[in-house]
Amino acid sequence: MVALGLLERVSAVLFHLFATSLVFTAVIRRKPLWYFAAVAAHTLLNSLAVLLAGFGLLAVELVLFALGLAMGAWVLASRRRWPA
Amino acid sequence: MTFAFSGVQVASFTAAAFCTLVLPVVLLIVLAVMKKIRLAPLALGFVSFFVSQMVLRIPLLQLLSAAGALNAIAANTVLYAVVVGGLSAGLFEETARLGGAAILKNYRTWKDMVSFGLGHGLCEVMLIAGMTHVNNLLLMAALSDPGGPLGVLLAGWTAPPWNWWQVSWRRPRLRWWPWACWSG
Repeated sequence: MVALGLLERVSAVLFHLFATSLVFTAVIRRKPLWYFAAVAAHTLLNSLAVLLAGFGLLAVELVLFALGLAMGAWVLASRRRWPA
Repeated sequence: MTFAFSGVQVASFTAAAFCTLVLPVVLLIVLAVMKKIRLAPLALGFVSFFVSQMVLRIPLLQLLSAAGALNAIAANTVLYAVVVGGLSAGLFEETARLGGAAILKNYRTWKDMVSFGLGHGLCEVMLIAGMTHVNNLLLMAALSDPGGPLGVLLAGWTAPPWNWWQVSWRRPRLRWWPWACWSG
């Protein structure tokens, strides 16, 4: 149970990096759509945690972790587009 | 009534508290020493989470809940999850991030973005998860020995979290009650 909680926290930190990337992009490029994408992603992730509760805690945490990994991969892949 | 907790239970909560309170600090120190992060965006990331959640959103939701304003949508689990759990968190946190990004005019590199994101995320880890585990350890200690100093101290704290400011003004020793409320 503790391990699942820690897994969830890793997913959360990965999401925060992803959302920060979107919001910073919105400010740098002056395109509000990136901000709204961050709000939508945040809404989706938080809602999923509750809506998938019926499938069991392990399934929820694994889904969130998979999403977190995907978001972390996107942040890493976008590194080249940032100023040095 | 005394509760007995196994060594595994105590060790689990202690390990969880260590991972969510101590490890983030160690990680940030290591990254700062290796110059992988910058301190100004990191600090602003911390502040943005603290202000948006601990100062604004969580107390607001507690006030609305106590006033019955959320009763209309509470009956619908999906709507409640999306609006209260998801959309409100998204609006508050992303707007705080937007404010932070706007303030950090000279900090717009990838390293600054990662620093801000880590500050925001690890603040959540430490305040929400970490303080919850500390709370659990304190409760375990109090329940294991209700007649001890911790048990006696916690026995008198029966105020609901939404009026913590009233309780703290009357009983100065409860000044840290908000942290116990927010940690859940």
